[in-house]
This record gives sequence, C-alpha cells and structure tokens, in this order.
Amino acid sequence: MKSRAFIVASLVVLLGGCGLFLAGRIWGASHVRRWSGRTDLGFVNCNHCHWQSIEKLPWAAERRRYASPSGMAVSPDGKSIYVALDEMDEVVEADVATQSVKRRLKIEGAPFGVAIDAAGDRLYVTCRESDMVMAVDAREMRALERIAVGAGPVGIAYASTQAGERLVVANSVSDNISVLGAKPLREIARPKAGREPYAAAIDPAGGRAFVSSRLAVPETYLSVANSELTVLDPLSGRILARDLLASAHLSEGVAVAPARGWSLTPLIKVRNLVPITQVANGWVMSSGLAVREENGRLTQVPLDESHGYFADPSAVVIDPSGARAYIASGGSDVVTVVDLARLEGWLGKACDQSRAEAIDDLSLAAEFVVARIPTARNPRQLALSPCGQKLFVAERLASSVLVVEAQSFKPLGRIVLGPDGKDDPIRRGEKVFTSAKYTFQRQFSCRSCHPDGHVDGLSYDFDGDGLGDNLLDNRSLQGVAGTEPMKWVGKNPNLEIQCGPRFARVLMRTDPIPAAELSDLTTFLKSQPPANWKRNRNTPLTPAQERGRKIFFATKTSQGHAIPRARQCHTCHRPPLFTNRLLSSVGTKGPHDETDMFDTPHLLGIGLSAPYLHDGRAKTLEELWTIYQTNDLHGVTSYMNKHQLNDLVEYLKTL
Amino acid sequence: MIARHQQERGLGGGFPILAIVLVLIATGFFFGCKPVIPEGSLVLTQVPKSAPEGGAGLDRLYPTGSRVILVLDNGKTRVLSKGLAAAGAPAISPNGARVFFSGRDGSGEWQIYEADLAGRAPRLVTAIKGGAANPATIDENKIVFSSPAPGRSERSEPSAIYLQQVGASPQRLTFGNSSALEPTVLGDGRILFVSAWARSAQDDCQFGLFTINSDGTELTPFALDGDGPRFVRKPREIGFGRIAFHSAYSEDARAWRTEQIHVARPFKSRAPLQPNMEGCDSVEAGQRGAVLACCEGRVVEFQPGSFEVRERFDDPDWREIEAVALVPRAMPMGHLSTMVSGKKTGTILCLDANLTKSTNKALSTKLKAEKVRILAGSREEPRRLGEVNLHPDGSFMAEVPADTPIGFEAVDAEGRVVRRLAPSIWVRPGENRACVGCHEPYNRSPRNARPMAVTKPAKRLEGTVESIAQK
Repeated sequence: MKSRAFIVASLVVLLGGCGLFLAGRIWGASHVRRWSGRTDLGFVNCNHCHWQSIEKLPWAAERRRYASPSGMAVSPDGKSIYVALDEMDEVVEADVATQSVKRRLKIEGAPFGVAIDAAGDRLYVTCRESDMVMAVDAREMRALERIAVGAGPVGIAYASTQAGERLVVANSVSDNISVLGAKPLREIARPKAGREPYAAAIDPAGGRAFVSSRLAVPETYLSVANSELTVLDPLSGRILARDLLASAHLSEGVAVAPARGWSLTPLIKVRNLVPITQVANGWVMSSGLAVREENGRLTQVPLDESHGYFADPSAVVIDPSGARAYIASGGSDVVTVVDLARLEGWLGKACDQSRAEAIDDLSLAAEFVVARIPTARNPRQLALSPCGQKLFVAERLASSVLVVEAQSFKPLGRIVLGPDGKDDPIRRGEKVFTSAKYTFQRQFSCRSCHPDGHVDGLSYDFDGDGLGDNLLDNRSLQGVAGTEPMKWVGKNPNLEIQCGPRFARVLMRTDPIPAAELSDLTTFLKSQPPANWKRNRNTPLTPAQERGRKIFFATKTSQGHAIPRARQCHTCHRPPLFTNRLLSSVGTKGPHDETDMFDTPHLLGIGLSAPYLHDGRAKTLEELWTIYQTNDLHGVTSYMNKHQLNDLVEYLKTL
Repeated sequence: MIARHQQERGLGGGFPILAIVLVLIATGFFFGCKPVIPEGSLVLTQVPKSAPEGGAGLDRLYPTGSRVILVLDNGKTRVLSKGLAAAGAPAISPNGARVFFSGRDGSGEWQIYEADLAGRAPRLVTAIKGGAANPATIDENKIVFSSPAPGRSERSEPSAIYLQQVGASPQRLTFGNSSALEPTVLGDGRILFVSAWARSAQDDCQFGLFTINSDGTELTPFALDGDGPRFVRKPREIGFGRIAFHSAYSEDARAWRTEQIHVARPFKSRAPLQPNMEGCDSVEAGQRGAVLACCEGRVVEFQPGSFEVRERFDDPDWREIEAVALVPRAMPMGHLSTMVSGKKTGTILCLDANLTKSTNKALSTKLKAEKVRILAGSREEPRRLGEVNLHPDGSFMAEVPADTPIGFEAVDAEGRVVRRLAPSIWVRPGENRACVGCHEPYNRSPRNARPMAVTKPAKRLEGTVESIAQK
C-alpha cells in the first residue's frame, strides 16, 4: 500500500515537475518574444538578457602589473638608460655599466614614450592614459612640469633646432600629432595624422619630422588599405606630406638616417583582400620596411625570407654613422640588422617595377639583411648608445632590457626590471598572444591582426566558407569576456573553440595551440577591458552625449510614434554589455554572404573599432544609418535629423 | 613461521633482497625492457667493399649484403637489419627512439622496416605493392616514403609519396605524372621531395625539389626547377637555414657532389656545401649544429663553413654510405588539414594568369592570354576538362577533379597557346589551391587585391577523368 502511494506521489511529482518545466519553457518563450519583439526566437537562456554584471567580468578585476619596458632613451654620455614602465606607472634609470636599476620615478598615467634632450638634463615622457607629456629632471629624477596633449600619446621625439627645442608627440587615440616647444612645455600645433599615430622621429638636419600611424585605412572594405607616414615641419607643425604606405599596417616605428636623408618605417604588408587559401609565400602577411628617400620616393622592401618570417616588426633605430638599421620583431623574438649601404646599392640599381614589386619578393631580404639577433620575449622598443656601440632591446614580456654589442651582435648582458610573470596565466597568455611560433613558418601572431587585442580595421576572406564569400571584418578582442558566441555568424560558442582547433585550421595551418597555452591565451583575452574603458569610466556625459543616450533608449520617435521593440537600440544592444548575444537580421546581407543572421556585437569601445558591420563596409558609425540602413531594420533612425544622429553617435563613443 | 621456513631452505636474510631484485627485473620486462641507447649513437648503412656494381635503383645503391647497423658511443656495433638481404636509408623518429629503414628480404621486394635497437630481427612496417623506399618520419608514429621503389617495379607508373601511420594503411599524397622520390620532413612540417620528369619521351629527366603539406595539399616548387643537374638525391635539412643535397651531371658514381641551398632564397643560393667536398654519399644534421656526412666510405663530422673535418667512424671492411645520429630533434610543426572528406573536387584560383617570370615584358604583353584551357590526365595525351575565360585582372577560378594530374594552356584571343603546363599539379579533395600567376617568379607573395574571379562561383569542370585515387 505504502509503495503504491510512493509510486503515485513520485508520478505526481514527476508530472508536476515536467508540467512546471514545460510551462516555464512556454512562459520563457513568450517572455522572450514579448521583450525582444521577435517572433523567430523560441526559448533562450535567461543569461542573454539577465544577470549580466560588469563587476563580475574578468576584465573588471585588477590584474597584476609588470615592469614591462616600453620607451627608452640613453643619456648623452651613454652611462644611463631611462626606461618607461607603463604598467607600473614608473620611469626607471638603469646604470649601463652595472646593468642594474639605479633610480625610480613614479609617474601616473602609464608613461610610455621617452625622449631625452641634447644635454641630457631633461627627459620627456608621454603618459598614455592621462594624455599628458611630462618633463623630468634627468639628473634629479623628479618631475618638472607637464602639459596636456592629444589623447593616448605614445611615441615622442626630441630635436634641438635653430628655432629652439622641439618635441613631436604621436597621439594614438585622438589620431593627431602634438608639436611642442620645451622649457617651458607649450603646444605649438596639433595637426591631424593617420589612424593611430604611434611613433615619431625628427631629422634635425633636414628640418623634418616623421610620424608613422600603425593602422591602415581602406577607402572601401574591398580596396587596399593604406597607413599614413606624416611628414611635418617640427618648428611650425605644418604638414609637408602625407605619404601613404600601401597595404601596410602595424607601423609602430620610424627612424631617420641622417646621412642618407631617409626615413625608415617597419610595417606589416597585409594581404587581406586575397582569399586565405594558404599561409606560405607571405599569403596572409609579411614584414617589411618602408624606405622614404629624401625626394619623397617610397619603396617597401621585405624583411622576411622565402620560408621564414619575422613577425610584428615594431621599433627601428639607425646607428649614428647610418651604416645599419636595427628592427625589433616582437612576434619572433629577433632583432633584424639591415646593412643600409647594401640596401642603397640595391635601390640604386632597381628599376621602377623592381621597386614596386620588391615587398612581394621574399628572396630579396638576403641582399641586405646581415644578421638576426635573438632576444627574450617580445622585443618592442630599441635604443642605441650615442656612439652606436651598444644596442638596447626592450624585451617587453620578459621585463628586461637586453644589451648587445652592436658591432659583433653579441649579448653583453641584461637589465632585469622585474619578475616576468611565469606564474601568472594572464601574463603567460599575453606571451602566447604575441608569439608567432604557433603559425606556419611563424608568419604572424594574434597581435599582428589585433594590436593590443584590438582591431586592425580590415576585412578578411577566409577560404573555409567559399572563396570570395563571407568577408569578415576583424572584431576587437577587447572586452570580449562574457559576449559569447564568437565569430560574426556566432559559430563558435566560446573563445576556447574560436582560438583552438578552428583557428588552427582556418588561419594558422598548423597544429592547434596546446591546451595549457590555449587556456592561458583565453585567460589573457578575457582580462582585456574594452578599448577606452579607463578613459570613459566615470566621465560625465556631455549634453550631446546625454541626448544621444536618450535616443539610444528611446521607445518612441521624436514625433511620438512607438518604435517596435525589436528595433529599439537597447533591445538587441542590451546593457551592461550592450549585446543580447543573439543572432539578428538587420538587413545587412551582402551579395557574397551566405546568411543575413549575424551576431549582435557588444558596443563597449565601439568608438575606436571602425569599420563596422560584419564585413566592415561602414567606415564610420554615421555610415551605419546614413548609407547602410535598410528600411529601419537596424534600429529605427529614419525619423532622426542630422543633429540627433550626431548625438546618438556621440553617446555610442562613450561606451 | 616464514622466517623458519626461509632458514630451512637456506635463504636466510637474503630473501628480501633477492625478491627486490626479481621484482626489478620483472618490472624491466614489463616495461618492454627497452635498451638504453646512449644519445649520440649512430645508425649507419654499410656496403660490403666487395659488393658487385650494377643493378638499378635501390639495388644499385644498396647491393646485396648492405646493412643497417647501430654504432654505440663506445664503438660497439649492432646489426639492425638482421635477416635481410640488403638494407639502407635509415631514418630516425623525432624523439630519437625509433629507426626505420628500407630493406629487401629474400623475395626481392623493398619495403620499410622498423629496427629493433636491441639487435633482434626488424619488424616489417609496409607491405605495399611495388615496394617502398626512403622512409622519413613525421612524428613518432607516422612515416612517409616513396612507392614503387625505384628500379624494382615492373609497372611503368611513377613513384609517389605515401604517408603511413605505423600499423595502418598507407595514404597516397602525390598525384602528379612525375616521380616523387626521397622524401624528407622539414622543421615546418612540410614534406620535401625530389621530383623527376621528362618533357618528352626522348628527353632526359629533369629534377626539381618540391614540397607538400603532410596531407598532400599545396604542392609548391622549392628549388631546382629542371635548370640544374641531371640527377638529384637525398635532400636534407641540415640546420642553419640550409638544405643539402647530392647532385650529378652524369650517372658516373664519381661525379656526385654535395651542394647546399639557403632556405632564405632557395632558387638563388645553390652552392657547394664545403669547398673540395667530393665523394660524399650522404649528409645529415648531426649533433649541436654539426653536419654528419659519409664521404669516401667513412663517417665524418664538421661544422658548416669550417674546413676542419673530424672522423666519427670507419670500418675497414665496409664502406659507410649513410649515417644518422640517434638523437632527439625538434618535432616538425604539425598541419591541420583543410581537406574535405568525401568531396571529389578541389578549387583552383589563379590571381593573374598573365603574370609570368618571363623577363621579356614586350613578349609577355603581346602574348596576353584571354582564357585558360584546363587539362587532366597524362602528360602525353591529356584530356581537356574545359575552358575558363580570364577576368580583366587575369584571374580565373575553376573547380576541378581532385587527386588527378591537372595542367593548363593559356590561350590568347586568336586561340594560340601562349603558355603551357602539362598535367603535373593536383588538388586534394576540398582543397582551395591558389597561385599568384602562370610560371610566376619564385617565392613571390600575392599582390594585395581582390581577384575578380572570386566575385562569381567557380566554373565546375569535372570532365570524365577518373582520379588516381579512384583507380
């Protein structure tokens, strides 16, 4: 009797449970339909819209900081080297003879670039996050004065000219150049540069300054993207030339060879318009050097070899005699040495066609590359002693500076700046992220397309889904934690799959990244905050931005008409991540797309991640609605006037 | 009780020690009792000095009586090809623990064997019709080799490269009309092999070095494009960015010389490996950056660029012709295949069929192709699969049968063939194969431009050709 009652009770509980489950599913589906305004959706997990919290995301947590060297400057007597440690908010002075740190100076705002004046009295330091340039007494190691410049200052160059001392600063976030006078610091001009100006050099003899911009900008997503080498007068800040480096990006360095009147800019020659059917033969990208001769003639020459690549060339320095150039390849842990006389010899006999095709000839570098100096992880900046006898290599992810005897290329020792973080998965993951060793013939690293984890602004044609079909805009990896699924079509459920076997098959063409290293890599990626997060956080909205915020969350048009829920901005781009992580159709299917359902991207840092839409066809946020809006499918915007649209865009840039 | 029992048997206190010893011995047997081979030992191919000359192919290289031996660092030797009539071409797995070689038993057929380093009889690894030769290792369990074995096959078909997981069936990787011989595995994971072909039945063979991925995709010329010696043998990656190989302009055994190319520019860097270095039969990467070579019947070692040659081994009764060091080496980079199983076609995309390495620009412009005829089958009597028109940028895209020799004829507006490639390349199932041009300059990266051909679906040219895999 008891057992029968137990069975009946169990059945009742079971049926009740099933009933509740079914009712829950039915209610859930109707709840989803009601609040998304979409009839094509069934039940979706609650966490697409609820229980999201920025505070719980890995990138919101404080991460360990390391003494990662960025900019360096050597004192005129060659006895001291000054190194900026942006993560530590410090500039340190190291003794070259003893190869040890002597003094430290705390400078808030992520000190990044360093320049020193001719007498060795003053250091000038760019502060990437506080948008300042700081003058420091080099002998006392104390701050003297500071000046606000454009946003995100990184590279800085100093020169003493007849009209006085000059500083040229590359402002990477505001895409402009600050030309400063020294003693006291004052801004003389702030001309526009290319996208993400990154490095600066001044030719005091020629009265010219050069600023390289590291991102390339295409005219349309199907055309060749060019990065800008800005040539300006360092006295007045007047622009002398805007040279375009075709298909070149990640140009993070520039140096002047005074004897020849050249400027040299390392670059990645990217081939994003060619379907990625292979990696061999520099099919995806290769490393090179742009030579700008005194007459303005530009020639790109390769730094790679027929079957070996030296990924992510960043810094370049030229010895005072103009005999050699040194280029740091951050992805390959190598400094490449170029014999400039041999390069000049080759340029002298090359015809126009040879020069035009030089960068595509992978057998050419052997003509002028005379050595490859191995380094520890991620060499990113270089400096030479005043006589050119010693080469200093900032090994960013090893927290050290390698000292090399420049004549023989032999290492003389290493200045250890701090622990290199072997026990920290985030730090280990950054080493994976920046290493080219996982790709075929070491052609590129994750960073090659995602500088600082962000975007390169280019669209790519992967061959797995058809040649010429489904072009994909490169998405930012910053702020990516919690925004799964991955890929524009949402194919990859998480970063582990995205960066693992699928990435190996589609792009690396090698074995997948080993499991432990893949785990470190995804941990690193999840620790990356959205672009501009620190800058935007806690900054009050301007009136225009506030108006834009209201438009973003509007449920009615300004004429009072109700906006369908499915076409309200915040329905799909739901705070706090500004995505509901679902596929949506917003009328953006192109002629070569298989589908019109695309992942709803998160909007954090969107102001800096141009271009837009899945294939990158929209160059600006404005173009999303002025050119590529289809029947108000991508939010109802047809009621807006240009001021309202501007307000909306201004608000989006604050996210 | 037990102690008393032990005393009765006279074992006393020594029993526990004996038991431990027995357990240790048993443990040794349990774990295979693998011999500990000192790192740096050598595996050699020896040919009897009295061996008669003659024969062809492997029989000529490794006459009856030739053997593979292990030379320990104390100078003691152990025959690894016990029971075989002839043996040679040893190859070591990346972990330095397994040795594979070509061997011929009494049946006369060459196959691949795995040596037992303890000195017992070797284990047969392949049993492929026509025989197998010249093994190379991709990882601990995968070998590549060429088949049919040169000089032994009664069939006229050219040799091809095969991949075989030890204990599984072989998979064919090359599908051209040329012979693919003497594979070696490069550090980047590609298979480098010697390709030999004749432009016509009357012509001498041309030799070149080509690479493929470990799934047979991405056939690419690597060096020597029929412009060099008449014979090429044993390409080997020897470190310092160099590939060494043996070449000869005649079949005379004394005419062989050892050359090198720099990987940085393989088509522009051919040079002798060492000055005055002649009479060498093999060159391999040695230990600590050294090069191990068999020259004039003995084993020597030297540093690249150094004139100082150190003798490693010489047996007066034998002629040493091959030597490899039994040391671990870096595992070659892997390759995740992009092939699509079950698919019978692949796609060919040419970015500009009018881009050639011809230096005569005027002629190139004059002979501008308008369309491309795609051929398949044999060199002598290829079948036309169809024609595709070139886009204004010179690009074309076509879907062609997989695992079949494919050739091209670039045809101008008046129907004249301006450039031709006899059927010799192939695509694997699902492979997207792209090329920069038509006989384009070597080691050339593509120009960054979206080819117009990809704006339309690839023209499907299946024809009636039966793929080699189907045969």
